[in-house]
Amino acid sequence: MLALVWLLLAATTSFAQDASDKIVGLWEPSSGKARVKIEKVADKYFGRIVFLKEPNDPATGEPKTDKNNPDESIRSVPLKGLRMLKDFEFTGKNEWANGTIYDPENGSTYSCVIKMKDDNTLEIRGYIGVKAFGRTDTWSRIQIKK
Amino acid sequence: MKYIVLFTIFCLTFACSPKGDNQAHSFMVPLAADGPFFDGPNTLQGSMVIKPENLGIDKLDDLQHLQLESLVLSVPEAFLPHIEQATLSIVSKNNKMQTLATADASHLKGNKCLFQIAKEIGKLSPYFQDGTVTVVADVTLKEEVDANWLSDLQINTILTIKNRP
Repeated sequence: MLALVWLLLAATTSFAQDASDKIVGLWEPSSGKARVKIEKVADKYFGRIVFLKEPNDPATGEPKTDKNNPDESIRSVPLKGLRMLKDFEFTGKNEWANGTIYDPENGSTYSCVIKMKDDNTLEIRGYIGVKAFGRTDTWSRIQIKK
Repeated sequence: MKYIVLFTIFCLTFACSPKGDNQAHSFMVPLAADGPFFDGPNTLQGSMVIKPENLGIDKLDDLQHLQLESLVLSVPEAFLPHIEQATLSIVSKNNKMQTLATADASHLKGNKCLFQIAKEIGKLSPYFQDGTVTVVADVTLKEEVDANWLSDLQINTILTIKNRP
């Protein structure tokens, strides 16, 4: 009986883990300008830019940097590799919340919630203050060829 | 009037500065990731458990303020010629990730990388009060390196400990 309870508990925990980790992978925003790799760090989820359609700044010919960051001291950080999704926690029902999204085009950080519509589609909603005042973008999963 | 303004500024400064005992303390965080590392951004991470007894305090809440003095990362030899840029961030259970420092090839001294601390850093003591801190290093490489990374990050700090009654 005890073994059965233990097995049931282990299965439930494993299922919860699988559900929360479904977001891990490579994703492309609707603009197609970049690709973002979502990974897990210390039980939270973070997204890093790993590919840029136009990696170089047309004005300088050099790799694009985070030149709009409000913190002057980190404006030289390359955009490729930048963590733009931060601190997401799995809240159940295919939703990751309490995180932020950073827009390198204007240096602003917004509150953000991510919903997984299906295994290959994310709805990313960035907002200020109240969820009603925001914008939703649809991201598609990029399958990595093995 | 001038003296009243000066006195007010003095009082405000005194009231806002952390009151307590200052002590220097170094934390060591092992950072690791399995290779191969690709050209471009790669992530290393490591966690450390903060024990009050190691800081000479009874409970972590007694840690009132933490000021970063320097961040020094040992770089494995295989990676030394290939480092282009690196960023260090910190995260804990109840606190959001924040960038601590950046570095590029010019910050390498021998096999050590001496990071440049970011200007705008929020309060760090709450991260350490959580008991476990995770440090993430995003390292951009010029070329692929087929090796594992295991090295220590030394975090040199000045801790302000609450005065005991």
